[in-house]
Amino acid sequence: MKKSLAVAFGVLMGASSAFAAGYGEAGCGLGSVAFQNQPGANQIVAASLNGLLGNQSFAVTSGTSNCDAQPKLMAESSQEQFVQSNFTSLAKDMAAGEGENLAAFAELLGCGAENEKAFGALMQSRYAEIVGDDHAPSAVVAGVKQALAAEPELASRCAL
Amino acid sequence: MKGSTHTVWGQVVVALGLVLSGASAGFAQSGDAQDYRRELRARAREARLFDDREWRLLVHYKPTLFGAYESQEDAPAFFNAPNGKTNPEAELAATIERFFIDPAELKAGEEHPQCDFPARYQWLKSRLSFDSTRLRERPCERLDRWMSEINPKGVTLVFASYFMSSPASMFGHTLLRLDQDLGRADGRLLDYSVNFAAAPDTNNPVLYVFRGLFGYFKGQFSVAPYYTRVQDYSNWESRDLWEYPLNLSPDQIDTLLRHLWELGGNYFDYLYFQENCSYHILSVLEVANPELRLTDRFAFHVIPAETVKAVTDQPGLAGNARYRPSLVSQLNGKRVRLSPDETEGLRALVFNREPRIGPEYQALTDQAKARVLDAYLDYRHYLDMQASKRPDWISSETQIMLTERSKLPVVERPGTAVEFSSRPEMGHDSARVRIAAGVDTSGVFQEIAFRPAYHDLMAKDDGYSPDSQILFGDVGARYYDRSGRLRLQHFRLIDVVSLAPYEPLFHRKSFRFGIGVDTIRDLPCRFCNAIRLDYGAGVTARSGIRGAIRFYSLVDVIGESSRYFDRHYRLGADLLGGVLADIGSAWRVHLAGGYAMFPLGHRSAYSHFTVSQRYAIFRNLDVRAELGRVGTRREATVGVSVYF
Repeated sequence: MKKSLAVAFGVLMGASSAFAAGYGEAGCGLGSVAFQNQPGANQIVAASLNGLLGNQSFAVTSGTSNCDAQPKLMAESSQEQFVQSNFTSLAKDMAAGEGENLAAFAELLGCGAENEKAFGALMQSRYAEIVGDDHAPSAVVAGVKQALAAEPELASRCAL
Repeated sequence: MKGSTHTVWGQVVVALGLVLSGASAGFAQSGDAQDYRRELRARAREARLFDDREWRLLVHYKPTLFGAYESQEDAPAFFNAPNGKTNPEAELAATIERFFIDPAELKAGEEHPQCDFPARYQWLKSRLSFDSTRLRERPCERLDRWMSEINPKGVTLVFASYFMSSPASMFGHTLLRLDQDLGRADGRLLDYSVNFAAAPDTNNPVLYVFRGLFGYFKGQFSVAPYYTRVQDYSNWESRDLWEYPLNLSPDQIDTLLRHLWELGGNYFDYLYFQENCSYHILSVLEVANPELRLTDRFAFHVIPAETVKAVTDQPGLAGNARYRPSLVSQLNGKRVRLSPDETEGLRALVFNREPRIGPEYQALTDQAKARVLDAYLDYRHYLDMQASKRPDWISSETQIMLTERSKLPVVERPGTAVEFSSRPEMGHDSARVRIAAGVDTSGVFQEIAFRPAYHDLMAKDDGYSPDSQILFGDVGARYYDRSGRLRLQHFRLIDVVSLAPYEPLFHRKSFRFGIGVDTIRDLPCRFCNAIRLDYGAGVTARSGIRGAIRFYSLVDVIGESSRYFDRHYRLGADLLGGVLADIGSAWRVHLAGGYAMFPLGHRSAYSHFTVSQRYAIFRNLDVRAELGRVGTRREATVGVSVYF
């Protein structure tokens, strides 16, 4: 009986380990930062922001939240932000030469939807250079821009 | 001379200007402002605006048991009146009052009340036709920037399907997406999304459950790019998403956004069963369109799937749902489309050690290689995220295969995704009544059972997590003709089963646990009840990715307590196994058998075997027949289940 109780608790504990990890389901409580400046709220946010995507999302919204007038499109920090929060998906799309994440990234770089294919082809052909072994988001963004710079025609259709 | 006159007059003009511009603080205009304040308050009182549905929605007032009103919001900053939480009228008066505040009176960093409560301001402005010469409209720079950055043209309700391995996610989850551009069907990743979630302040699971159930967490709204949610839910937790575009007018969307701003820095006490993520998503939709009645139907518990039904039930509100397959569903969708050779190639990539790229893969055409690698890279993506719990980490092995993929052609992707889950509103409703009749060794009986929630293994899986069971408070009573008494057959406080298939790529475990009261059936004790706790783990195999037959096997550790037992308890284990088979979508057959031994306490052992069948006639009605044997006791029942 006791053992069974212990086991039952074990289940609850095991099952809730996703939370124990402090993962963002609990909410990267960005809201408080994103909406208003309340010192107490900020602390709650900071405390719950060590999960999967916490820090990244934090940066994204704090950019808008503190109202630094940072337009999402074409801002370097947004591009880096996107690469960092989405790298596992983006790299896959880059290697495949197409995909939703790649299209979104093209949009962040100011390349119109009509240039998606050309952009995808370029990313695929230069994949190994752009995503090297060291793939810091800023390095990836710089690599992408370098690759674009080598293709003046495509680059001219993106608002870099 | 001229020049100096000009200067003097200039100074006078400047001085006058200063006096006038500061006048709202000074006495020059305060008399009128005072009048206008009083007038607005009187008009609001006359029109009984505090009693208006929109006011109640804006401040989240709900009727209490005693006929008064109380706001569900728990942050003091959300109210203008000290007793605003419980007094809609005082709150309304104080809100009008504070809209008149002179910005000079605000502390550094403090926003003007008109900017803190922009939805209330808009509503009162239109209801009371504010005269902007008498009540000055204040600029709200931060609000304006925030709104223009989010800039929604549409709103989408997103349902994240079930995640059995976490108690907070077992029932699914809902969030809103604020769509910026209606032109594109896909590519919504850059839109913002709105989530309501608890901010847990503990890592202790016992405290977590306790605090979650009793409202000790603060629940807050948050706004973040949708791609972060897709990484969270679709990729990391492998939950399919269902996206329902909502039919809201531009004005309603504007109100929604303003209201979200009001809620932003504040909080609701988070109640796992009542005021949870899904409840407050509904409550803000009601603010956007007060004609919607979404929260009224939830009294005791709010289940995310049921909130989706509340939305899809409203005529004209929700459009066709779009399926966004999880990472695992994407992979499985690719797998079912591979040719046998390609499947062999994928198998070789997954299981070959050195060299990973072996002859089975090398023999394929470039197009085929690309298809195989696309599936394999989904699998690597899954493995990497599970290993690192990060959205930006790629293992070196994955990187090698990504580089390999980049040398192969772009392949055409099929337009429609293979669906591995079904829309939540397709599911039966979550409460159930069952009426059954049967016969066992004690004679003929009638049975009635009720549960408030949620889904059992034999019920139709549509809209639910396949091959799972979550029961709360399931109670059943039997009336035996011979004894002429109604008695408790079972009470399941909680009973959870998950039979996730174990397969070569995903080594998922199956488990079950339960707490409740059951009838002792293996011993010659007629109508004795025992308190029962059990926890079991094992594996399930499935006949193919979408196979209709599942085999499972579990070891279930059982503790039971009853006065009837020697030393009042017994502890042991049940080795059980079974087969679940679906014949079409309406008919399910379940064979289960096992052998239970109790070496501790009341020493005993028995074997058991059941055959059950279910036929679903309507979404909310099914019939079942069961034939079983426990020890030497046999039993047959036929029953009807009605969901509501």
